[in-house]
Amino acid sequence: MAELVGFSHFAGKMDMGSTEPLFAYGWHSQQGAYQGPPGPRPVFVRQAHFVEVEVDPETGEVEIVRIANANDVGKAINPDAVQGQQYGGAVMGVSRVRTEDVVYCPATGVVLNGNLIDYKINTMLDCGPIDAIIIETGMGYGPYGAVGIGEDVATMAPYAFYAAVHNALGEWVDLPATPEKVLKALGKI
Amino acid sequence: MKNFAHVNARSLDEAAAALRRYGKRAAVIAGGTDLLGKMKDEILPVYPEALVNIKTIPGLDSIACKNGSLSIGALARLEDIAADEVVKRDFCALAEAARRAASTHLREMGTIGGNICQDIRCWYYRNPNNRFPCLRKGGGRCYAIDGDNRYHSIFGGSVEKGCYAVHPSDIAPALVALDASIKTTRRTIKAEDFFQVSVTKTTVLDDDEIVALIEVPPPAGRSSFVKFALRKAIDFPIVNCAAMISMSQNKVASARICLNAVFVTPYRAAEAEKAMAGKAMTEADAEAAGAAAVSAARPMTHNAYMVPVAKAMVKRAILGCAD
Repeated sequence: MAELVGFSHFAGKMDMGSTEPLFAYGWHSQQGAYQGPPGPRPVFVRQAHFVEVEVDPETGEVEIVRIANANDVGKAINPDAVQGQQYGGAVMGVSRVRTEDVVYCPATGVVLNGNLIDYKINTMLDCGPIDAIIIETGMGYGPYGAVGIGEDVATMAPYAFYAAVHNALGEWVDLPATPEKVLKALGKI
Repeated sequence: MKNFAHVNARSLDEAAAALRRYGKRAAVIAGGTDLLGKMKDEILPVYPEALVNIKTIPGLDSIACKNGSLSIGALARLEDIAADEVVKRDFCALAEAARRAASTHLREMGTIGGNICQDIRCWYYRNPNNRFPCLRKGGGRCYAIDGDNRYHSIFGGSVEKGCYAVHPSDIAPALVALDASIKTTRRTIKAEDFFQVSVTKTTVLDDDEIVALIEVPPPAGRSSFVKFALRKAIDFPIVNCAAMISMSQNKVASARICLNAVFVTPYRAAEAEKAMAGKAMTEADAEAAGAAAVSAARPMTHNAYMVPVAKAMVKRAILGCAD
């Protein structure tokens, strides 16, 4: 275990030929053969996510109008599987911040919504159209320069949603952005 | 899930006789979408010993329109009602309510009779293994009063400190707005009198009484149904509202407006109906009617947000009736 942690720690500091992340301009390259030690290989993924929302000021409902994901996967060896990850990650990601919430009873601490009716996972009808865009630059260490796409989209989509709600309301609301919190932010209750 | 006896009834009389035989220890099953979930989670302190299956009764799933009145058998499935051309054309509120209820799978199983007789969705009541022995289960108190009551009543409980769970049906407010009657094995009841403000039951049905037919008279005007829920493909309403408005000379002649999921029973918004009488159907009129509808609201600790939502639903249901 210690060995593994040591490796990853070391690997994290490896010179990957990358720049510091920049908001204005940046680049990195990880093409070519992997030069680091054996063990976990840190791989940079490049992606951009866009979420467009509409907030209903009367009910506090946040409707997702459109989602666009662009993922640089190096090389899409199975494009359908890559897009599957993009759709799934987008739905899962926005669902987490739009409606999903484990509700504990404030008086007893018992979980009240331990089922799939009351724990509200969004459906495809709640996410609007999703543009899944695959970028192939061959930047990875995998075959043909491929990198993974596993958890990328679901980790990024929530924050694009969060920013979109802020952009609509002019206020940051706690997540998930339920009607109650949105109406509070709007001063309606 | 425990064992239970299963009786296939061939007629309503036979089903009623079976219910009488088992007393309070039997339940009627049709689609089973509500009942089986309740039994699997073992939320009930007393488990039904027998299920009386009424799906085996022939002819109870018809949807027929005669002289402008609609009569729907209790076993008609929600999906069939939502797809029926006559219902879609003349009884918009009912068609839309049936279309928006639950999910496709549940609408293919669930019946209209079962939908109006369904049990409450309170998450204290429904907590698995009967963890909260609340008023509805013969216990001493309502746990939602001090707990998380974000989906509970905004118009008070069954009585003060009574049960604050809301009626979750989408069909019920549409039937109330359309002034429907419910024919049971024993009597005919107006839809708005069918639901009971009680901690033991949601309807006025006796233990051996079964819904047979739902009769909707020719609509007096256009009707509409709107629903607010967190998800579109499947969800119980946070608030829904059905309205039927008849016009004469561009003024509202009569209005029937019913909210649901805001009170223990479907909540007829009498104040809003009064506010609309004689008005033109402008957005300002509808907005004022919405405000009137929630003027008596007394939200609990976590559900104040339902008040503006209910207000908006009344407004949109009214505007949905405009040509």
